[in-house]
Amino acid sequence: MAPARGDEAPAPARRAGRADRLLSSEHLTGWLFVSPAVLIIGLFGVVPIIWSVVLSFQSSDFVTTPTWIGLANYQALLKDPAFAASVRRTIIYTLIFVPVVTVASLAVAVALNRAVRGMRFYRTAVFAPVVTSTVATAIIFNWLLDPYFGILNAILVKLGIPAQQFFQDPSQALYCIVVMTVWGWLGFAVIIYLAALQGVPQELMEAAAIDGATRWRAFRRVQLPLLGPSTLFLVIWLSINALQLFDEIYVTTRGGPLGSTTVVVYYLYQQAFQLFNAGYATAIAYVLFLGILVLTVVQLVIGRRFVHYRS
Amino acid sequence: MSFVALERAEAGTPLVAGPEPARRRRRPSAWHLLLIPLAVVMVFPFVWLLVTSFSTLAESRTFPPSLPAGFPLQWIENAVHNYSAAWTQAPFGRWLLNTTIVTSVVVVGNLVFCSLAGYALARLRFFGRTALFLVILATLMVPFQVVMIPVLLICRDLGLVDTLGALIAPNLVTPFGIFLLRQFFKTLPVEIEEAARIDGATRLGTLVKVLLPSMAAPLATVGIMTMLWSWNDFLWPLIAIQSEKSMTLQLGLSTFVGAHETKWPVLMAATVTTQIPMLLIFILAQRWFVQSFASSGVKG
Amino acid sequence: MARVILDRVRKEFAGNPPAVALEGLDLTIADGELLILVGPSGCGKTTALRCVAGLEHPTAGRIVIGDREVQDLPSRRRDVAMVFQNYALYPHLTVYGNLAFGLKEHRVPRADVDRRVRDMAHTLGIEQLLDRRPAQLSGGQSQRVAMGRALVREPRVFLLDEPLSNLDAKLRGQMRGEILELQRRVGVTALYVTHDQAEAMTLGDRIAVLNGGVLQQLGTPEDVFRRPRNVFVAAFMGTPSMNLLRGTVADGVLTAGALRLPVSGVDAGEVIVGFRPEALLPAGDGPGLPQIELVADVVEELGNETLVYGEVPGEVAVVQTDAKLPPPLAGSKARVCARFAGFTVVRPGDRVPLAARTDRLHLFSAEDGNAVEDWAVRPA
Repeated sequence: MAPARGDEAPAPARRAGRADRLLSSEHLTGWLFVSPAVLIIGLFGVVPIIWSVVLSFQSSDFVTTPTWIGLANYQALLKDPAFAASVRRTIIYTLIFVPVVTVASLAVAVALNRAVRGMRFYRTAVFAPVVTSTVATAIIFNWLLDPYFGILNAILVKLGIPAQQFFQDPSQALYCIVVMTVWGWLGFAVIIYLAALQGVPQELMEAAAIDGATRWRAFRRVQLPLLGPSTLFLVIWLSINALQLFDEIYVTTRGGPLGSTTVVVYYLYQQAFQLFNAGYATAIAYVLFLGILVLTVVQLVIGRRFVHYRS
Repeated sequence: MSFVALERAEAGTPLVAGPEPARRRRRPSAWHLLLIPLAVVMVFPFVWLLVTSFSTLAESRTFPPSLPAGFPLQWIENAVHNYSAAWTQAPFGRWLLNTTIVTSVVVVGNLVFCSLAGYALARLRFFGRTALFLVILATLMVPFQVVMIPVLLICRDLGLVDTLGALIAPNLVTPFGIFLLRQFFKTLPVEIEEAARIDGATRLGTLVKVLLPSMAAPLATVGIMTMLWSWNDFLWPLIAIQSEKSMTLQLGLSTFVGAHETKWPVLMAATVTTQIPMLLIFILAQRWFVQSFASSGVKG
Repeated sequence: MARVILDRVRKEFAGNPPAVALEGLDLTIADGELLILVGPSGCGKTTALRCVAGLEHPTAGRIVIGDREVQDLPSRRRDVAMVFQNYALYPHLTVYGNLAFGLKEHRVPRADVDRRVRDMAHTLGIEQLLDRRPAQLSGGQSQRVAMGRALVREPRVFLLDEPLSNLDAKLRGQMRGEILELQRRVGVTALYVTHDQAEAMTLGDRIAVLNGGVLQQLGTPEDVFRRPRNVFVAAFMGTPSMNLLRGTVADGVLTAGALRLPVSGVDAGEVIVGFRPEALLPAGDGPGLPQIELVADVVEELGNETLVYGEVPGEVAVVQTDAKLPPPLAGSKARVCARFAGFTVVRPGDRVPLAARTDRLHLFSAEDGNAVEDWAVRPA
């Protein structure tokens, strides 16, 4: 059938407007894909972050309506000797924990990288503590370091050293925590370093050998610098975790003896769930956050100057 | 035989490749001197944990401690006593079930939702994408202690407190997983997706059928690290759960400590049972664990 | 500057049975000479180089540099320098740092280090790159820096492991000339490994052809090309490869397909006849020469020359020169290649009458592949 006379040209297409683009499949698909994440992270991440800012300016005991007290929490924090002490202990802990793990794990990783036989066994042995929970680790070390029946004391006595009080000695408890957490974290750091060491191409070490470097100098001048990014990552990551120390304290010393292991997060826990000062506890959390942030930025800035990233 | 017409196999056999260390003597590496004591120190706590769980209460209360008497029969008898005591005096079975449920749901949830979000953030152009990514990145920076009280209050308002829901819901999606997967998606060549689209696949189809199958390593990383973290999580269950029946393994174990503090053999038995699942998985899938941790460090 | 001697160097790698990479290699490189080690992958050339470098320890044999036996010395004490295939530049150091590294390891005084690095950078034309890092360099620049790092130390021996294989063709040609010029100017003894026989021909003072860990022939490029010692060398050198036909000698007559020649100095038996593509002339240009008819199959017009591939009566001899390629099919018809200058009127399917230059024929024993020496075409 012949087309009817007077067919007009098709109507000119309407230019796609903003609404069209928003509704276009990619935008819609995009938001659809991220919606579960947005929901969960929004509800349990963003909202709490904002809420906790507000909470830190309030006095709350979880039950009654919170009252607004402005900066009072923060001001109190600055004058709180218990808080200051907890900060001091946390810093001491971090200052010992991070370097010990970093240096020791590097040595272990270098050793693992060389020794061929039994590599799998060593790796399992070194990494197994990482998969044990903090609670289990604490229980194990509680037992190992028991002042009366623990095997460590038995070994010390055999060596002629008097038995120690360990977790029950205010001057030793924190250091016992250090030993415990180093044991738990060493494997993680070793794995990081091992991967980095294995990432250095064999050819580079050969070139260094031909260029006249001894094994040690090749390590120091070629491999070690290339480990810079890993070292920086480890120092930052370990510091962040060290500053948030809690689990082990809860299971072993509960902040004691005589408060000698009350670190910042434990103090926070006490304030929030034993004394029901939610606002005050949240303020502590924010100060901790600030501390972590500042430390990380400082580490990054210093690190970047010494670390050359390979692209 | 004619010199000519060399057999293909013969000529094509590659020589054993690889640089051989230029050592003349095949003596064992001196590094073993460092590694052996280290391995002993790392493994010894486990060993002693096990040994104690095979001891009697009286033996655990002697100083200096020694190996329990009567290997192996008495050991087995002790073990039966200790482990069954642990299991009967506290609902470890229930706790194991709870933890398994929570961890499984959290891992699956993360794998699914982080993949979706990571892909969208890496490849799809949508309004507010950059802002959203920055927000997610920011939440990664904030330590848990800052948000834990409000999250508790939110869970209270949602009626989730003291249920497994409280343990699952906030952890269904983690910024860490999104970040890791987004980074990885960005390294995949765009051409593969374009080919799939030309072949008629939808975005979701491309993601599921084309991209994810080639992402075993990062998915394993997210899965394993989430699993380990969720299984061993302590602080959040501590504040979110009060009733024994809803506790996780680690939380329950810590309450067990309180009640049975000096009953070392039973306590050790309880500890062993709570750690076996993860240790077992680790030993079987060691490669994956190690790779996951190593690659997460590289991204960091 | 020193001569290098490999004396019965043998290298085995672990395995059951052990894989033999080098079977007793004997090689002497004169002081200041550029010797090329060439051969297909897996022939042992890189192994030989690495033995000289000290990166592998020979299972047996000696390596002498100058007048010292070095096979038991670690690399750093041998005073050798190497350019790696992938350059192996230190990624965390600048170009300056890379060049200076070896000097610092050899305790060269600070002032001298600076002078030598800058001089070398000037020679190589990379002064403006001194502050850059390897990641910022192009392929050609990286290569120059790698060479600079090696030469700045003024080593006694300069080792190169396929330094040009990662560059594109054009750059390769340019760098080839630069390497040659640099080596001549500095006058350092050099050992150069490549799998590209064309590169070997253009670069070396002498060429050592290896296959399966065994030295096949050592000689000047002309020696190796014009007078191959065995059928492997004949097939390996030259592109396109030498045409090889199976043949027999009986009663003083060589028969290979359609080729019939009276010959002397050859024992009766099976032989392989070799002739390069350029040994074939249009029949009209070689009236007294033996005639062969080629049925053209593929004609490649390259502008300055034409390659005509086709079949001639006879049976082709199969020689594996590269383990990576599939072996040519042994068929009843022999496929050969003829090379002509300029363009031709040959089309696929044409029957092309050709003449073979008898002065460019090679004879090899079919049993061991060795060249037959002192044979000649008898006048008819």
